[in-house]
Amino acid sequence: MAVVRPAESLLEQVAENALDDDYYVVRAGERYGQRPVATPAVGVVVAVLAAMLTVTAVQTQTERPGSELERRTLVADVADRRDVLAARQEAVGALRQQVASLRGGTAAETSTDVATDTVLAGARALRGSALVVTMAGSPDGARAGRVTAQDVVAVVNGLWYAGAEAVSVGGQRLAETSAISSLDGAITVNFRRIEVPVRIVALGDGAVLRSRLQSNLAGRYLQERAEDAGLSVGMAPSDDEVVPSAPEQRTTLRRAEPLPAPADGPRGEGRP
Amino acid sequence: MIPVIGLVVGVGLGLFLQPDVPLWLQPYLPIAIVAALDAVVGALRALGERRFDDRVFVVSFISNVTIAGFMVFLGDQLGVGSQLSTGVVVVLGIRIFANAAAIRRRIFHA
Repeated sequence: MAVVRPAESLLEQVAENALDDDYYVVRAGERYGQRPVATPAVGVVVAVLAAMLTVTAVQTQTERPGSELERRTLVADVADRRDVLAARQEAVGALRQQVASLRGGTAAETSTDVATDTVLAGARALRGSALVVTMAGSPDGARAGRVTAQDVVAVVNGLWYAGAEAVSVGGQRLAETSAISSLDGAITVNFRRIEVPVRIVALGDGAVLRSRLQSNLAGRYLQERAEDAGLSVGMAPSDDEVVPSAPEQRTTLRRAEPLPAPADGPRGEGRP
Repeated sequence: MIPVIGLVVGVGLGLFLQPDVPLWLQPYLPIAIVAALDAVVGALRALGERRFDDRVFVVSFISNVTIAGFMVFLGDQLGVGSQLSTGVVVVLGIRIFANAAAIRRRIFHA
């Protein structure tokens, strides 16, 4: 029968043989002998141990303020960042609310939008470089040589096509609801009579507008009219012209209501 | 007497000179101190059991410190420095406690 040895774990062994074996080997059996305790070697070793302890303790002590300062700075940083985060979150909330109210269409439009819209709608007089088109009937006064509303419409369409930014005909600004028609043989714009020769002012780069107008359908139409009926057409770029505002009735809507602007664009572009 | 003088001299040196421990030595110093403490507690126990031998004490002190430092160094090179340090501290701690318990039993018979 094999003798079962008591299980000894590594740690138990360590605890069991805590004292260096050398002490037993050197002084096996012998009790407190000749070797003195107070030898210089022991003193040196003790001094080394004491020095190591002191140095380490001092070092740790002196390094503490540095790490303490670091820790405090970090804590302050964290607090700062938290404040920033809170402020940002507040801003996000406010902006979300703003976005929601703007989407709802209930918020007042911003001032820039209003300004742009009034300008585009023709409710404000404008000034700038322009092309001035003057149309007069044929000198002989023949019926075919008179300036008709159709001529004016053709020129205005040609000017829009050429890139005009605002157009007035005989001092009448063309707005969203403007109509060019003829009444009793006279040309009316915005339901007002227009004098002949008709003076059409189109804001934009005068030279560019002229060359584009001459090369597009309206230009060819005018040339035909000039050749066939003797219509006289003058085009003069101008550096400074004023286009008046349209009459109030022409920029006011009574029944039509704007649709709410879609989320992806600034203007209501007809999506229900 | 000499050990006490050594103690005083060591503490005085450490306090007066206050040398900056070089950075490369800093991880080893605490382990070296634990190892040295083990040697000292062992020596105290041997003293109590009347087996003390200054040569054994000096050799065990130096070898303990050296081996402990070397193990930490090795662990640093292998990337397990902190784990090996923990292991060294655990083993030396057990030894210190066991020796302290032996001293306690001898003095108080308990």
